[in-house]
Amino acid sequence: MAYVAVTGGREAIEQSLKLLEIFRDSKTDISVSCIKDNMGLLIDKIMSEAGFYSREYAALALKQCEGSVEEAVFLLRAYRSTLPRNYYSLPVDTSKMRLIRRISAAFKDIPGGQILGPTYDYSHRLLDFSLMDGEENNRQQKKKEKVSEDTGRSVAKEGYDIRCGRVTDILKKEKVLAETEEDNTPPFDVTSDVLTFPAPRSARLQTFARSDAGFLGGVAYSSMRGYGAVHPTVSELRCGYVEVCIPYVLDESEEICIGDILVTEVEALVPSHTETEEEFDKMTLSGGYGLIFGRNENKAIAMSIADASLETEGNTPSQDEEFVLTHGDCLEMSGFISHLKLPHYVTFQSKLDRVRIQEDEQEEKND
Amino acid sequence: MTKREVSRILARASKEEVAETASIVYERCRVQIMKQPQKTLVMVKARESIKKSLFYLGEVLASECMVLVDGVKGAGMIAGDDFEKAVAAAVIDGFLNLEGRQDEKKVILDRLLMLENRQAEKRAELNLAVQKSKVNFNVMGE
Repeated sequence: MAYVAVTGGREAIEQSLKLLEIFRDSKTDISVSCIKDNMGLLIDKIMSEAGFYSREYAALALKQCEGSVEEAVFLLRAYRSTLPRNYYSLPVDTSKMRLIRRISAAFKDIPGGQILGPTYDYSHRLLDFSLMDGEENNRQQKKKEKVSEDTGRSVAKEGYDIRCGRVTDILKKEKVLAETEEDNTPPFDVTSDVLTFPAPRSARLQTFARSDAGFLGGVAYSSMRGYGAVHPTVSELRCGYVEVCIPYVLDESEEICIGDILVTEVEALVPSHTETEEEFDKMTLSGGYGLIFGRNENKAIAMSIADASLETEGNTPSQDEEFVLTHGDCLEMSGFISHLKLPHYVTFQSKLDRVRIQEDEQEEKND
Repeated sequence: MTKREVSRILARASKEEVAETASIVYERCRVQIMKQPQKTLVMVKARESIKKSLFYLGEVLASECMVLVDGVKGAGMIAGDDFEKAVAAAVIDGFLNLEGRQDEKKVILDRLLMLENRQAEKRAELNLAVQKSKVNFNVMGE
């Protein structure tokens, strides 16, 4: 059955759009910069799922759609499709990341140390009622006090940029983890080319980086709980700024930096699956990789698990490449579910007619 | 100073700081817009560290522009939606592409160094606060 278009409802649709504003019901307007500065993690989630890095536009999209993540992603993807893509960056070097957080669950002591950075991991999950009314000024004051405390130390001497080598470099030196040569195969681009299976590794990673965080989390969770074979150890989770550089347009032998972007990267270590003692004796380590825009640690960890899971063989959803890569896009997912709200009068009538005919036939038989 | 260093300082500077630096060029040179500022996407390529292969992480919004400074081309490219900054960056780039004029270039380069120091100082405060969250986990019983 083909789709049949419907017409009409223009005035009702216009009124419906007006109602969105009426139901917004806000007495005080919230500025885009306020959203950008206060909702950083939400902005990061939207940029990551839209595959589009612009903190300002992500905040604008959020303001426009009452904070709906899928609507904001839709707006950004739609806007992005109107822009030319004139440049491809040089490969970003995450080993030179300017770190704000770096932890390892594999080793207690790592060269450069573990840095907790900004994290809710160790916070008390108690509502802070002091934020309710007019306490914002106190918060700002506390922030200022903290900075001035810090400046009491020798900022110039001790406030250097934090950069560290990778934990897996140590394992590679020990030959516990296989050292690999750089693979310079041009990446597949899922935004321009139709994905076919088996997909190249570059397509997998790009798809994961743009995936819905909830979907990717579900895939990883299922794998860890037994519907798969991957329960990794986080070798290193790092969060920080990397420079985006492109060839200089007037002389491609030179490069220019267009700015810094905030990213989260995870390397996960996965021991080979063992059931027998012989397999246990021959245990090897492999890795899973996650890299995403912004601060979203669970998504980056989930990405590394999903990546590692597709390297294993089995019949679980997390090991099914086509399943994992075609059901995690926020826009496609919400769009497909959302289309069910639109008129299906003709298709449904056809189904209803079929059921009625069967009912009539059954009644005739009974008579 | 390499193109990368200059562009990094300009990318990290505020719109006002870049415009102020470009004003030094406007005082001395004839500036023409060759390609109007426009928004563009930059696809970010990344190298994953497990198999060291390349993949696309996503796109960054950027503003680009091209100018002529005393007849010499200059290009500006800045992440984000900021046409004024992209134009000012292109003007500075064009000026630095001119032959000779070392004394005048030194004025610009000194200013860029000053901006770089200011940026490092600003980052240093944050870096220090981050360093204070360095942790030593102790294993119970060891």
